[in-house]
Amino acid sequence: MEGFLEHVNGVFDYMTSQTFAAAAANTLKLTLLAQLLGVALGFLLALGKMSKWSVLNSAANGYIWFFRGIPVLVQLIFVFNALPQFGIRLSGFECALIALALNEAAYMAEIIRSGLSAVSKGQKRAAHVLGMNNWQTMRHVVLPQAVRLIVPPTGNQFIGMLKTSAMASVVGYMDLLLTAQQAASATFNYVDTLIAAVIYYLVFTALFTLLQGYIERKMDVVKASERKQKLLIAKSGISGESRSAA
Amino acid sequence: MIKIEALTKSYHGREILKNVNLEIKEGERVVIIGPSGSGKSTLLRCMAGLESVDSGGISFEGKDIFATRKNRSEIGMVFQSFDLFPHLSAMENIMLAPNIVRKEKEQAVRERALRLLDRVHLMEHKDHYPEQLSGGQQQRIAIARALAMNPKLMLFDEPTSALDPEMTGEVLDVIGDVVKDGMTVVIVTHEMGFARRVGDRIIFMDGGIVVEDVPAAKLAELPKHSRLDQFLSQLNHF
Ligand SMILES: Nc1ncnc2c1ncn2[C@@H]1O[C@H](COP(=O)(O)OP(=O)(O)OP(=O)(O)O)[C@@H](O)[C@H]1O
Ligand SMILES: [Mg+2]
Repeated sequence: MEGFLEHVNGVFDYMTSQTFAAAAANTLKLTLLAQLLGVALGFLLALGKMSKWSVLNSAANGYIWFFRGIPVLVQLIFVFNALPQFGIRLSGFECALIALALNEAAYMAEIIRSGLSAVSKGQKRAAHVLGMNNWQTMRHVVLPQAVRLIVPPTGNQFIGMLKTSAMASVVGYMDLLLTAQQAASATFNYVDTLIAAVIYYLVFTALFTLLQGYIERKMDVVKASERKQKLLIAKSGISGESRSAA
Repeated sequence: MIKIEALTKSYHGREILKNVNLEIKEGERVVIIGPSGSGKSTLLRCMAGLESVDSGGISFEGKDIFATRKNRSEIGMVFQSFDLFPHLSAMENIMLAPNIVRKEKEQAVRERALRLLDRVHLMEHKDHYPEQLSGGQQQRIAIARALAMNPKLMLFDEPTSALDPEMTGEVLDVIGDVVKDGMTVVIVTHEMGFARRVGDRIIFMDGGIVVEDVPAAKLAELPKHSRLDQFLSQLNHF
């Protein structure tokens, strides 16, 4: 029992230490930026895949094949070790950001493409007859609907990215994993240091999951409007019809 | 008002519209009928500027509709499949284009939308989303949405053929009201009763060409065994 409490104290001390807090912030920073860049680049790739120009189709498909086919770890080490031979010297953070974002874009492309193409041709046609140009149709008709389909899988990708970000430790980025390992190599206390890192990962995952659920509920306009109508009906005390035909 | 000259259109090398010539004057109510695959929808989509054409041209009030979006901005269209925007409420569907395309004042758009909702008898459904509406209600909102852009010409492509029979009446009534207000309309329909009631000019298409172009009143005097006569008697059989 005493041993257990000792570990609890040890983990707590590591977690609240400045180095671990900074490491958690680093992990979060890399995850957020890599995912953000991955989404942006994935969006361009999705447009390329959906374009009527076959050059763009092939370019996008080639990209996706290339980056999905190579282990992320290999990409990361390549950026870190091979690029300096071409005179390109980047920090561990920059290497990790580039490798993770380029890799993520290949997966986001497919997610975004299927979201964008779920909007019917008929709606785009209707938008055009109403005078909207391609950008207005994308912005006001396609994207708002596509986002609802894209958010859930992107949330999963994001949580995946949180874990993949640990690979940045191999290129010297002071993320949670590398910080835990360095702390352990000084004290040989692998249990407490790694558990401290693990708890950070789990807490972040839980927070992202909650956030994801919140966003998904916010976006379901029909459910939201039904909730509002029920509330109004409940308030007025009338069990009136709310969705039957006229 | 709209003039179609020597219009030719093909898909994958197959000619769908073959040298179509048609002029429609302001205030005319044109009904287009014809067998499936005769090119009625394709013609309407061309008139709305949705399709590129192989040769020939379409001008609206003297201006080439393919030249700029503005030249066709007073042509509205309603489709068989309603195609409301599902993420927007009925009211928002109506307001979207006036807001973002015309950039009109919010208040003016709101007032017009409410007037249109009243006109299609759906005021109490203004905050409902498309999936909360019946097909007939969705189509009436689609008509209001098109009218919100103040079109001078309205094209209807089989506006009731995706509807259950008990809902066609409410949609046809709304179209009838639009026609009564003097709108120039082109309607593709198989509802011959409706066609005779609101149409003053009947166009019969077959195989990508205009076969007949007759005043509605003359429909009864068609020569027997003409293609149109055969088509109409077939319709009556179903
Ligand atoms: N986007 C397209 N791509 C290829 N072929 C098409 C396309 N649209 C229409 N067609 C073809 O063009 C022909 C005419 O089609 P259209 O839809 O204009 O006929 P329609 O007279 O409206 O028929 P219906 O009464 O069935 O609606 C059909 O043979 C159809 O297969
Ligand atoms: Mg058709």
